[in-house]
Amino acid sequence: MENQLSHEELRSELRRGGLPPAYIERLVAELDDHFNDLLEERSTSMGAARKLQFEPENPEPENLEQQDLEQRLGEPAQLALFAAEQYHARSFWGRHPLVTYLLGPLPLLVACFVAYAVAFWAVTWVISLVGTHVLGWSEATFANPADFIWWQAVLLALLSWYVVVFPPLTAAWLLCRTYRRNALDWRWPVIGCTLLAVVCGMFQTSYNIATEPDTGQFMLGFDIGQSSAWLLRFLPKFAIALSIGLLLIQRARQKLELEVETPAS
Amino acid sequence: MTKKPNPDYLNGVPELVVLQLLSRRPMYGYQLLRAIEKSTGNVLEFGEGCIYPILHRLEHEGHLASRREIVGGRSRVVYRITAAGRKRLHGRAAAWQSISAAVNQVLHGADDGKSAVA
Repeated sequence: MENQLSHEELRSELRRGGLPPAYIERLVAELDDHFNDLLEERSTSMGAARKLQFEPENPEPENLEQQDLEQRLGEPAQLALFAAEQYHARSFWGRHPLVTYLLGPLPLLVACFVAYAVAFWAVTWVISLVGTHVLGWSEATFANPADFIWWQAVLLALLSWYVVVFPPLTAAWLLCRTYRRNALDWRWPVIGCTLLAVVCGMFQTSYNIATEPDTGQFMLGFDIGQSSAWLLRFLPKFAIALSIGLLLIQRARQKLELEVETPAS
Repeated sequence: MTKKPNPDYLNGVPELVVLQLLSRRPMYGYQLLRAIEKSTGNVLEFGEGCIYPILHRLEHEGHLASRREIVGGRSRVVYRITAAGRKRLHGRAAAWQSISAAVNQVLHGADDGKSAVA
């Protein structure tokens, strides 16, 4: 195809604008259709009239015609800039990456905590309902907590993981999903996931198993300090959380590369 | 024959025009551009390639739907407006009419907002 060279220039400009390959292919295919329509238009009488307008100015009308048609489509650099702008404008989060990845992670984490707390409350409510009405549980069933030490240990350990792992993981996943859907610069989710990892590094949970007469307890808090002992506690948790975040980003980047964007059928 | 960019205050106008024209009938990109030229008397002009990113964004937002179809013996991506697109069109059109009326009032009216022409 004659306009192959321009396609390559356009593709490279679009890639520079951070657009995903699938979108680039779709856009180039439609521009190709459009270019062919412009060529067809040239062969009509109206097209011939347009051609006459510029022919006297240049002795090589074929080259001029090609240039003219390409100019009608738009300069590759300007077109790529506009396409990237429109692509990122698809959602509020894409339009405002600073808000999404710098201000957003902590409120998002809080929202995830609330969602998981509600889910936990709902599950325990259903279990207690089933236990009371189907299994015949009563206060007397759990009168002696020492009888359930293993159950308590397992459930509290799971709860500890549930509280510490799932909300930040969900928040990181949402940040990566936003990055992929808006084809943003990959450094934005890195910023967001780093902030989440800092918070994860400071998480601290503790629990006591209930034994007669002591009641059990579960605590979630932030371990904030400046000592080297604190740093030794913080760094492994931070590193693990950040690694998981980076893995999610890497996975999102791969998905972005493989996605195929086609018109809905 | 490089096309002059339209002024900044026309932000959002191409979207309004696209939705309005597609609300009349489904069209592919080239057809839509010619319809814009015809219906605006060539007042609204931009790099023709720019229409596609706008169409793709509107499609992503659910205001348009697209399908590859054979038109005139060639395969083309035809866009049509959705119910959500019609709703957006009504909102945008009302906003535009109110802004345009307000600007006209400033341009043609006296300081108190009343028409200067008796």
